[in-house]
Amino acid sequence: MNLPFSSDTAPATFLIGGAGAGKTELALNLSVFKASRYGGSTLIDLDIVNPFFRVRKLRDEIEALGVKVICPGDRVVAGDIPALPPAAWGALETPGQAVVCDIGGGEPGLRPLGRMKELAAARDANVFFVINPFRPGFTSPAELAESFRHMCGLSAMQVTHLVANPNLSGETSVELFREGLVTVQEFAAKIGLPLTFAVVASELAGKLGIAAEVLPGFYSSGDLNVFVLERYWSVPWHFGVVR
Amino acid sequence: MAKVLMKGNEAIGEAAVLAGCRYYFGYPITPQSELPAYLAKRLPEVDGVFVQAESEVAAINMVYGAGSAGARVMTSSSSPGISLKQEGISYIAGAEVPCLIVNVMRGGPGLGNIAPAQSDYWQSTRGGGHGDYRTIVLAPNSVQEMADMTITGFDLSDRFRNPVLLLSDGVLGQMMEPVNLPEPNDYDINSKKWALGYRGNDKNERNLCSSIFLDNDELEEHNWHLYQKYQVITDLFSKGEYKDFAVEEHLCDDAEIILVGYGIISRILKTVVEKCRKRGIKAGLIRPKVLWPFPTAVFERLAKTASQFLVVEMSCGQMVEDVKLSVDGKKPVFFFGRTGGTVPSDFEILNEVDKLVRPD
Repeated sequence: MNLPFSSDTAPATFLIGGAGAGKTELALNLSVFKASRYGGSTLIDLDIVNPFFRVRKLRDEIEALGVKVICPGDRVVAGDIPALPPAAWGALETPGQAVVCDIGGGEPGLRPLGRMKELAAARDANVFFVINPFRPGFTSPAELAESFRHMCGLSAMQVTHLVANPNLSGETSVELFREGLVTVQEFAAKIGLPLTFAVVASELAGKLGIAAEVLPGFYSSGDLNVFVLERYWSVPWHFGVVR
Repeated sequence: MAKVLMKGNEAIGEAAVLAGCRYYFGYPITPQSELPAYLAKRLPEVDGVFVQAESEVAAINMVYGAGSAGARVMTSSSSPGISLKQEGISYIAGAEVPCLIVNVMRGGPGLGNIAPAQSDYWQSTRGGGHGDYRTIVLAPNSVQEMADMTITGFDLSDRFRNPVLLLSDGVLGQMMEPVNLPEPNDYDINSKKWALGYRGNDKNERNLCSSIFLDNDELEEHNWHLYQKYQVITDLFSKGEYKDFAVEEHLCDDAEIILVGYGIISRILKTVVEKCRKRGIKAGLIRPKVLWPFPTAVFERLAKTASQFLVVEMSCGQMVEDVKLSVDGKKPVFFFGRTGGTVPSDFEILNEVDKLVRPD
């Protein structure tokens, strides 16, 4: 299907939202998707918050899929200092380059975006606000409105699209996905921004009746555009059954 | 309450509020900073107090003060910050003041790094600071248990007038999982008759919380009193009401090799056990959920039936000493560890099991 957002004219995409919204997994997938569509893409790791689960950890795996990863230099790559990679500016200033920026979650994670504001405006960038309505502070349209207003102010960016990512990690059922989606749809209607697509884990796609042949990829589910993810995080403790 | 997706660090924060904790004093350090960040926002909503102190030493002494006044109070840090708090923890244990201390372990020694580790086991289970004292040490292995054990930790600390340490690691602090939060607890700050400011004393005497006993005999008497309290706690955890809470066994009854691990490692070991069983290796798992008092009895019992034990830790080998003491030479105890922030994979642990059960 056609992309549900104007990626060809605005190939730079910023992902913002609360911690746990699913931005990093989405950023990995979007950059891989763009790499296959445009013959290459750049993924910028601007996460100055999360010490472990960030793009740079999967650098080799993602670069093997045609994505150039820009992250802090080797000497500080495993650190927790707010170092932004200078190459990020170069990537964003290069016309036509397909770029995805992953931002750290929550309030401190958004602050680096202030320095990107002018560049983003010059690129006519897509700014996605990613929402998981099962995270504290995002569970109702009213909570969402408050968090959205606060985070937009901190990021200094104009959000262009909403993205729904309703999930409880491995416990996401079809019913739970639909329940969360309604919350985000109500919020979208309330603030008048388009709910551009919903994120669906590959294991849920079949249960929703989506025949996702190529991952990651955009598909339709009734009136809803969905982006079906490949899971790039695979960690040993996820296999261990708890309780 | 409906399930929500939370980081381990956040789940501790919310559970603390639900347990009636209204006072937090701490200082930021990766990988636990989401916990103070959560409470900085959350505590004012429930008329609580959040203070980012000027140092870890200051923070733990604020905990000492609030705990002495009868409040449910907590602090948190990661390894180097917990080292800084040790003097205060010793004072708190000496004065028998309840509080919850959270350690989200990172790599050491020294500044180490910000990656997950389990190398503070000795520090946690041997007291940590100066003097003859113990802290009850709880070891969760999921975000749900980070919440549940926070609440249990406050209850235990009040019951025994003793600091409780929640010992987790960077992975548990940072990972996100669905969590079911309990209903809030109506904690009454005026319920502790020993606390400063308690007005119900018959003789109208003022209470005092202190760890200073200048007279030799008085200090000796106090030390034996603490020792006896620790014995009561040990009995309750080894054969009393906390016996089942203290340890989890998985497929141990017919196991020839028993894997031992706590915290995040125990989940990987569960995977290893399943894989072993599929390959015809009779493996089992002992997961201590309480690290002090150590669940010795389960090792004594299973040393009679199992052929060998393999302890896995994200350290160079610390808990393995307690396992050896518990097995008491009856069966061989082996060790496999990774350090520096590397979480061992199920594959490499399975390889170690293979070497032990199929040495040829």
